[in-house]
Amino acid sequence: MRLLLHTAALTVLTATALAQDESTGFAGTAAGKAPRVEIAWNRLYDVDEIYAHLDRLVAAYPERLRMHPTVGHSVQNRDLRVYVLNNPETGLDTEKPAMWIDGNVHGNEVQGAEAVLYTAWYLLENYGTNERVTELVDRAAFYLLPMQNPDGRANWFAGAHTASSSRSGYQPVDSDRDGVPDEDGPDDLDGDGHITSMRKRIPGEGTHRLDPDDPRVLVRVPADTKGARGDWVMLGREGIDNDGDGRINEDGPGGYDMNRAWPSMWQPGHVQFGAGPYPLYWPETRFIAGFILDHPNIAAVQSFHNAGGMILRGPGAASFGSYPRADVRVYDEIGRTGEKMLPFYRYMILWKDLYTVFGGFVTWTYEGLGIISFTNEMWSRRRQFPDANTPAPDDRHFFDDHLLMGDGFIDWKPFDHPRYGPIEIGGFKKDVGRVPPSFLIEEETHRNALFCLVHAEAMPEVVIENVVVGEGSGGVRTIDVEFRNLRAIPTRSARTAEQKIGTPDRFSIEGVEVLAGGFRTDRFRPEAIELAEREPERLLSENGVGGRGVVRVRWFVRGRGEATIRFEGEKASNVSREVTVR
Amino acid sequence: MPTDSPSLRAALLALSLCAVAPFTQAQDTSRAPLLDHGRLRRALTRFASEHAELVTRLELGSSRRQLKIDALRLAAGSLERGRPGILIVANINGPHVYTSGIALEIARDLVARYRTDPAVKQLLDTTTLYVVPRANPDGAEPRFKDGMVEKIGTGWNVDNDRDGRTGEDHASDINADGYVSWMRIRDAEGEWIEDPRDRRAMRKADASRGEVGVWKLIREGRDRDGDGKVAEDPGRDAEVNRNFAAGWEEHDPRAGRYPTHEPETRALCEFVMGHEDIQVVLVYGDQENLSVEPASVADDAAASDRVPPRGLRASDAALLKELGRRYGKIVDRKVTGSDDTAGTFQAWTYEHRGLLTIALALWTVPLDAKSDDEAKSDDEATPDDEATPNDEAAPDDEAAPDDGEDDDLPEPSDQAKQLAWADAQGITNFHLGWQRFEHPELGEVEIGGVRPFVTIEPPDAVRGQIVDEQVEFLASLAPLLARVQLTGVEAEVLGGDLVRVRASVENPAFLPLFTVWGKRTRTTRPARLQIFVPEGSQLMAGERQHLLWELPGSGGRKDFEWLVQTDDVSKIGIRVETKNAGAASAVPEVK
Ligand SMILES: [Zn+2]
Repeated sequence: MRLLLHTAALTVLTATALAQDESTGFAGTAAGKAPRVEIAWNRLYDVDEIYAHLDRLVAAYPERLRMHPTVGHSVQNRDLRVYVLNNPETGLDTEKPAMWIDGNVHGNEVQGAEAVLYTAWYLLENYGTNERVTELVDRAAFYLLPMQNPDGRANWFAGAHTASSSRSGYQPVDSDRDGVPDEDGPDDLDGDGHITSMRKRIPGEGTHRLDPDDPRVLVRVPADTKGARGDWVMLGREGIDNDGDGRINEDGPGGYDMNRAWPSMWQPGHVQFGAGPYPLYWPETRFIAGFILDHPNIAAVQSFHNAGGMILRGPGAASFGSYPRADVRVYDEIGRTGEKMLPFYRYMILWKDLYTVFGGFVTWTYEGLGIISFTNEMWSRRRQFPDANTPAPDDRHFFDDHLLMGDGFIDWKPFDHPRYGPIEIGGFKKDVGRVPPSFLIEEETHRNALFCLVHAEAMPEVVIENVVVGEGSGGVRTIDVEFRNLRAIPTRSARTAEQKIGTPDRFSIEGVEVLAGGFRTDRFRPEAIELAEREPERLLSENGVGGRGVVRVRWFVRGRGEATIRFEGEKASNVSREVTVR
Repeated sequence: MPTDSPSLRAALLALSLCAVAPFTQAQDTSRAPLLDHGRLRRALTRFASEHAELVTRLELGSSRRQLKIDALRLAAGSLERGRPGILIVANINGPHVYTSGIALEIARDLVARYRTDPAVKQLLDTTTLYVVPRANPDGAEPRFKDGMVEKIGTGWNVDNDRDGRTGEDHASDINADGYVSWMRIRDAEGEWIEDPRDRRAMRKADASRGEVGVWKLIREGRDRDGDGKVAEDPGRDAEVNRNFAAGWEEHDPRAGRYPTHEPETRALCEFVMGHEDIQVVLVYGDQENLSVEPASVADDAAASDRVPPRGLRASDAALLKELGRRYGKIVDRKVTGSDDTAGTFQAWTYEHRGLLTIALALWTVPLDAKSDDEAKSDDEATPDDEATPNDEAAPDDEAAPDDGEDDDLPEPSDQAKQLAWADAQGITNFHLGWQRFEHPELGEVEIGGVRPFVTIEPPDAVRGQIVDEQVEFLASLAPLLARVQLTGVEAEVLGGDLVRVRASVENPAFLPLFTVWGKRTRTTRPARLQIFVPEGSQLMAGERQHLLWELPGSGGRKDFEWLVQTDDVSKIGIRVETKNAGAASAVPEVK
């Protein structure tokens, strides 16, 4: 880790040098130009390094990136920093639709933080040169939390771990209920800095045998094979019975799941492992929920995980039923675009295509808050061999041997175990299997970051169009207005409308006397109007303006002068337009 | 008279309030008085300091409006490991202010009787009592304010009427009689009629009997936001006792933003989780599961989409039934409880924490209080009562069938029954009468109805009685609490220095170590049985430690054995420990 920090310090200097000499090299299309802040995208960064890179971006682009003053703290007192990417020249972040992007709620699922960092970097570096980036940054804001679970990440980086350990947060939990928390986790018995696997040779009495072509690989002997017996047994993760209760590795650090802790369809631990004693029990989750609830302008959510190549949405459980059809259309449009952008990723419904999750984060942001939300499970092992004709895409050893020169595997070595006696310890390292190898990290983060931008571009944008003041008679005139949403996501999702979440959208007119008014229900029949009961100058709508939809309003007014027509909503920028009534 | 002086007006108002309200604290000299936050705190502090040997004052946290949530711990002697705890939570439902006084008085009574009453002595010697007299201080405040109102919500605001503004149209005391009560308005679209059995009472018209509603009945208040509706966006919608995680109803304004979003809710959760000694929880509120037999489902009721059905399990219902039988010998009073447990504390402590939870409504207005004869005398007592000037309110009601045939009249409404009870008790101002009032938005209305809090708060004499009963019941609980014992701790020398050791863990008390939910949720700590062998000796067979996840009551037992190689049996130790059902140690007796 020390070495990595050193590298980070070096790149600061390099970046400064580059900024001074713009003629250095040719940057290629995606990056757009020689970046002001160089970040090596072929590596994974520890907690402090991720924050350091973001702080470098803040220093380089202080006008468009800042750290939000409200900082959360993890169980082990690490910062939870939300970086706000916004162009203040076009308004406050809170007045624009915003996308929330986070990663790494599962401590071992690390590359989400790099994807969040990349998103910030890409938007800042390409602002002003790329037209769409500029337009997006001018009209939308981003709330970027690189790590929901910095403790999990820090421990995964620093400690001996497997690809799937350090998933939990680090509040001690007495998982085996013996009165002592966290006293029997895996142990790095051979002191090589890794937790791998244990196997033991018991000739003729085992469940596995060695693959004759590759003795590193254990092959299960089918139970129904007559007479044939294996010579090896698998003994699980490297470890001993630390607490003397007869079991091995049954009470490791933490032992809960911060992606099962969110309020919608939350279920206690005996139904949903890891949910905690009540929703948002852990400080990380409570901080994040507070931030999101304080920002009703959040109109899109991405929460990065690994692995498996999935673009996931809710529901998390079959008993929820289905999401409303109008929202499913939006989900499908963005999700299917993502499938094309992200090779080997599939757009999936959590409970149906993966497994049942109660109290998940993105199910809360949608079911509880009405926000179109995805979780990408980053990295698909099929990317190791993108050519479908390549044999054995699951052959991890072939990839490791030929493309990593064997760096990802620790060969089996003998060890004398206190309970099992002579055994062998070996296996793949923690950064094999769930995170991309270095040479694919940049591609993985780029594609996922750009998927976020597709999602962000879909956030609602309302314009006021076709304002027509009618001729009228007897001093009464009609004013027809079209409020058009240019984007795919409605200003109020069907879920938002159905559950009456937040504040309804307001369509108002000011400056003239309004006698009556309402929403038009048939564009060809101006007399088809849902008349407002009262306050016709301030119409409210639970449904808002649909994705690429139009809301037509007709007002009957008296008098003359300058009138202001306004749209106000939680998840789209307010807009107004002046109209002269003569 | 210079009535434009605000202070004078306030003073006059205060005077007139004292005259009307019989239960305000100025007059409340009963055993379990109604105390506002300041008085309750002072009473708790004084009580604790005067009886420091038995009473400790604790704090759970603060309410949304920064009022401290206090608690008392009552226990004699040292708080040894495993000593069972009983948690009493009162006034978690805001308007149930009187339960605070009851809880405080119970604590006082227990302390007063500690030296003279053996059952009370056993209770305080062997258990730890945690008393939270006012779990919801914000919810109690409206009881002590001018414009007294039965308002349950204290928390997060939502925009109930969906007009883009939150909490802008709340109920209020517009006729300045000291109460936020009810308004009735003559309206062809109204659903209400005067109950022909008692014209002070309002009930919904019954179309099947040909009745047609003639009144609208709404909360007293203005139409502050000018939307034609009165008091339809009251503000502070979330209720502390709907904000717990068990059965939480997301998107219901009363349920709050997320479970434990209300600080009182979270403080209670943290207190329960921080006190693993608690074995039984009692909640004084609007629910009842002792004098009423609650519905239950089978212990192993099938889950749907992995989620087991909520609610009471049959085995635990059997425990409550037996406790209810005992309770019935002490408390001879019918109460009606709400069975809506969604998001309640009692649902959380039971379903999510596995704690046996007793919900007690303590008192509700008796609905079957009188015989026909009494009813007649009541009729004579009712009219012309100064405090219930309801002559205005009993006009020619064209809606109600008035054929003079009592037999043809429907059952009296609950409100009529409540009024009948009040009349029988000689409570004269149970009903405010219906007073004409010129409403600024609605025109002519009538304001009145049953006076706030009279259907919640038992009369003085009953309150004293409740205290006595609850003290007796609590004392009777002490011997019933689950407790671990070691029995049959024996050593049999098999030959040489090989010894077979046996021990049983037994629970002689009525209650089991685990409720059905306690076993399922694994939130109740298992009992831990350990064997200690002296140095130089060796455990040859058996486990050093067993975790027990099951131990029924009434003599439930589990047997264990070990083989030990030792030359000194007397140095072998057996110990069983729990967090909330005692602990025991023994040395095996050589057979
Ligand atoms: Zn994950």
